[in-house]
Amino acid sequence: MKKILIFTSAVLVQLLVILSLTVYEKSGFSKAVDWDVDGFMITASSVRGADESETDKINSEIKNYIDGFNKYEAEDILCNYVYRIISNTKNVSVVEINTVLQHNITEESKQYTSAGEICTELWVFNDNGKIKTKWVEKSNTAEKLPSESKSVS
Amino acid sequence: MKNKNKIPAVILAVAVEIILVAMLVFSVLKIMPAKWEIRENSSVSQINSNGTVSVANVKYFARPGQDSVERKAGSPKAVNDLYMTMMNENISADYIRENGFTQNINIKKLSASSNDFCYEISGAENGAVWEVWITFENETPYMTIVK
Repeated sequence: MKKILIFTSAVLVQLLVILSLTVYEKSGFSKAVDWDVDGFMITASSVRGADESETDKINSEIKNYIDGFNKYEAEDILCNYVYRIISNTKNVSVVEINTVLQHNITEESKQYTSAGEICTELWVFNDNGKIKTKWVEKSNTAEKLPSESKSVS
Repeated sequence: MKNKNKIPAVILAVAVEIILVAMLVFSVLKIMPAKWEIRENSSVSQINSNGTVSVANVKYFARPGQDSVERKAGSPKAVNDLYMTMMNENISADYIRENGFTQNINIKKLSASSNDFCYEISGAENGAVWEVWITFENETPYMTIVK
């Protein structure tokens, strides 16, 4: 009886350790940034080992990037954003923001034509709670806006 | 007779223990930092005049005890190839053009975990410092260089 009790305790302890390690691996403790994607926007909800100002810094950069598309909205071009977390490890997080541009939308027929796509990666390096970011434009097939064409000529 | 009845229970207990220990080892290995080998103070002469790098400065080993390229779905090789390509594009061409073959490249580890590795490259005569950030997702390496 005593042997069974010892064996059962040992098994339970081992299971507990395995469970703790798995929870740690899946938790925010092993991720550089905790992301919150709601379909329309991606925001950093927390940054491992950093104070709130670092989280705000990332969110402000994302907002500035998204605000950069206001020039398309001003030309009646619809912007759809698709967010994908490519990698989120202990110190590095990579998020892809794919912006699909559409114009000539007619409300009744729901028809539109593509105005191109812009795919950008946001790299976040969590250097012991200090955040460094890098934006990398991977592809850009967006049509030139009339205002941009004028400024070139 | 009594001992004979105990044999299946003992076998079962041993089997359970083997499975649990294996799971435990696997869980620990999963969160252990990966092993990286840095060739510190690599000579710039390892970069050819046309901008190609013959020796990668950083080698990735999937886990401690593993000793090279073939271990993990080609990832270490991919990292080294990627590193060399990025070096060509972002560092060596500029470095060679601006600084010649006079100095050593210094590499310093910034951080490392089971699935990422970041280091700093310095040694250029113009004082430029680069950071290389590498992260793995499902065995695929992603890398960027920040100046």
